[in-house]
Parts: sequence; structure tokens; C-alpha cells
Amino acid sequence: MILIKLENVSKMYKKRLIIDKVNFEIESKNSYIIIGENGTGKTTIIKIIMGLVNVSNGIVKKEISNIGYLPDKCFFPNHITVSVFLNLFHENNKLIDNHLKEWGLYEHKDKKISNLSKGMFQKLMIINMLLKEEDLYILDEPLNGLDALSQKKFFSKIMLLKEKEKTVVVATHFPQLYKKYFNRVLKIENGKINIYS
Amino acid sequence: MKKYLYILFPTLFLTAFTILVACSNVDNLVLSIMPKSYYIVEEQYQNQSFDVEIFSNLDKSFFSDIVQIEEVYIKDQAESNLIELELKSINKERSKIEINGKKHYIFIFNFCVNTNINSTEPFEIKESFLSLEYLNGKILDLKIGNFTYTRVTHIGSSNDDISVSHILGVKNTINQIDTLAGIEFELENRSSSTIRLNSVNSLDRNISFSLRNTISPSVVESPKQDVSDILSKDYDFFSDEQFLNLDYYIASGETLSFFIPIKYDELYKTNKLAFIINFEKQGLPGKIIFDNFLFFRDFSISLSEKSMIESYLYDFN
Repeated sequence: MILIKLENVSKMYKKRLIIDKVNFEIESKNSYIIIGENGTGKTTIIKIIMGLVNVSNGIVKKEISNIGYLPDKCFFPNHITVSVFLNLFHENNKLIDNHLKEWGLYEHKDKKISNLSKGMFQKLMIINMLLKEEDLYILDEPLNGLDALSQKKFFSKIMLLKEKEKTVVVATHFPQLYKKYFNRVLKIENGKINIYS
Repeated sequence: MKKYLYILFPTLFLTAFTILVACSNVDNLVLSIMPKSYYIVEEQYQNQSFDVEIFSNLDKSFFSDIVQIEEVYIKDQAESNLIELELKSINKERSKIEINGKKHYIFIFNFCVNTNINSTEPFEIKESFLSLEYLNGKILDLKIGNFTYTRVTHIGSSNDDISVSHILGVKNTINQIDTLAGIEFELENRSSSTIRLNSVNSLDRNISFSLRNTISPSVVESPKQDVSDILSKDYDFFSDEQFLNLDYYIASGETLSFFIPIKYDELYKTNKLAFIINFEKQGLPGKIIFDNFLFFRDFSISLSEKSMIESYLYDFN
């Protein structure tokens, strides 16, 4: 099943062509890595898929309404606590606590976000994403700030999502870390996409 | 006669040139904006709009012509974090504002975020820019302040256990800016059990509540009363404080009033706020979410506040 389909998609930004007549599909039960140098349009592709920016030309077809999303940069009111933050978006407190325990954040749940380390903050964002059961997850540089143990946990979660037949897309500069877990590579160069299996 | 012409022509030329230069200066576009905190808090699939007030020296220009505007973004300075907006309308206010001794027209740009966003993640840009791209090739980037977009589980109360029977914003002049300084609440417990009030949290990254300085019952006498006067002690609007839980209990059928002063990370004129009240009943958590509650209408900008206005002088009109 095709979850997302981009047909001849182009994107101009500041009168400059960032994405040039791109065609590709994201199929269910597959896993993708998006690679590309800075400024090649990698983040723009993700923003188009997420609906954060519109296309200048072409069509984006979506068979799903919600996508689990981990942006590369995330900010939020520093003064709210971990548990208040998660409670804003999720109702199931038991599930929240389970995730916090699993990622070692339970004892920090009454801490202000401003007092979290970079790694803790990234874990919080991953938890926030995983708390929602979606068919497609898109993650932009998800290993940012994670220590070796947390990276291992992250990949075990990826495996779990794959077992549940979820589709996972990761944008990264470090594809070698992911190649064991992902079966397709989308390489973006000068606004064009090439797909490798 | 010839002698007079020698004097007359250069004089006329100089006068014409001076007038031309003066006129062209007047006609150049000058835009001004007062940085604020902009935020949208909504449930899924709403289409909440927000206004950005832009001051222009020109009554008519491509800048305020809606058909000329091709695309609109909110972005950070590095342009790595951005979101596209839909421009719904541009309206010109009847009143004008004086900036640097000159009258400026007030234009209200009304935007909404794309409805096709597929993520429920919060989106926030500190020190954001409004980027207006025009069909004529011009791009205007205006610093508007902070921008936050949040989709929450629900707006209002998660159940009927608790209701807000009274809410009042207290306005003070902080560093010469008239802005929200604290909030007085009265909550009613409509359930059959005692409710414990845990915390009140702002959804604006610049603003937090000083739970340490909360007082109950509230003793606010007027919406312009000094916070120091309400608390009967000096109060610092800017210092950081450790997170604390409130520990107020409301018995079944009873009401509780309390006053919470606010703290600013960075001072922006604020008359609206989104916030959450967290409570607990029989060990189970609940929350009330307020989206962009308007505490007072305040379109006026005082003389001292004008120093915060950012102006952009362009070499076109």
C-alpha cells in the first residue's frame, strides 16, 4: 500500500528551486533512509511530507492523516515539566510512565525541560513520538545527543515498529548507522531524488 | 538678462532636484513591527487564525496588496526551521500610529497555519521572522517575536469535575511596558470528591507562573494593582525559580480563589496567554487547557513601548 506519493513535486523558496520535479512513493511496511548534503532539500522534502510547507508544483497524495514526527530541532516552553509536556499531547498516564521508566526519565518527570540535558531532551521527544500509534514515522537525525545505550534502545524500538509493520523514514547524515535496519535509501542531490534498495 | 539666467537655472535645477529627492524619500517603504509572542493552541484539524500588526508609512503599496503576495512563512534566522502560512486577509485600521514623528498606517495581516499538517508535534521558533514573498520578486522578512504552534488533546476541561468561575488578568507596567503581570483565578469543584490543584503552566516559552509566590485566597483589588502590592512584598518578574507543585485542595462543591504572578524570560507586551491547569481527583490527573485567553484588549502603544518597535527602511515603495 502506498502511504505517500509525490508526483512531479517542485518547491521554490525565495525564488530559488529547492526541489525539482521529484517523484517517489513511501510504501507501507518499508523503511527508508533519506540522505543528502546540507542544503540539498532533505529537510524540505520532510516538511512537504509533513504538510509544514506547500509544494510550488506537483501533487502530494497521502493515504494517512497522522504521521509520527521527530524534528531535528525542537523547542518548547522550558519552564514546563516533563510530565506536563507529555500530558499536553497524550491522555494515557500509565503508558507515559512506562515509557519514561523505559528511557530512564521517570525520576526526572517533575524536572523542568530547561533542566534536561541534550540527551534527555532527545529521549523526551522520542517518547512523545512513540506514544502515538501511527502507521508512518518520520525522524530527522534521531540519534542527536543520544549515548550508546540509548542508541541501542532506539534501534530496538525501530525493530519493534518494523515488527508491527509500521513504516519508518529517517533523514540522516550518517546512513552507515542505519543500513542494517533500513531497506531503501532515498538520496537527494541538487533537488532530485534517487532511490536505491 | 543672460546673467540672471545663469543664476536662475542652477537655482531652479537645485530646487527641483531637492524636491525630487525629498519626494522619493517620502515614498520609500518603511515597515515597522512590535515583536510579540504569537502562539496558536488548538485541537486537531482546527483552522485557528492569528493577527500580525504591521505599520507602514504608505497607505497603498504592493506590501499590503493581498493579490501580490505569493507565499508566506514563519521561520528562524537560519531558515532551517520554517512553517508555511495561509494569508487570509489584510485589513487597514482607521486609526494611525506615530513612529519617529511620522504617521503610519496600521495593517492587520490575518494568517492561519496549513490545515494539512500531519503532525501533532509542537512547533516553536524563538525570535521568528515573518517572510512575505511577492509576485514582483520582493521578499520582506520582518522580525515578529516568538511563534509557537501546539496541537493539544483538547481545549477546555478534560471532564466536568472542575470549572473556572472567575479569571482576571492583572496588568502592570514592567520596564515601561504595559503587560500581563499575574492572573487571579476562581475554580469550582463540581465533583463529589476533593480535588487537588497541582500546577498552572503557561504555553508561552517566555512566560512562566511563579507558583512559589501564589497566594490563596486572592486579594486582588483592581486589574491594575501592583503585583508587589498584592503580594505585600517586592516581586521580581525576571528571576528563575525551581519548579514547585501547588498544593491547594478544593472540597466538593466549594470554590477556591488564588492569584499567581508571572515571570518573563524575555519581556514582550502580552495581553493573551495559553495555559494549562493541572489537577488530581482520587489520584487521577486531569487538566484544563486555555487557548490564547484574552485578558485585556490593548491596541495602544505607549511612548516608551515604541522603543521596542523594529523598523525596516526599503529603497523601494
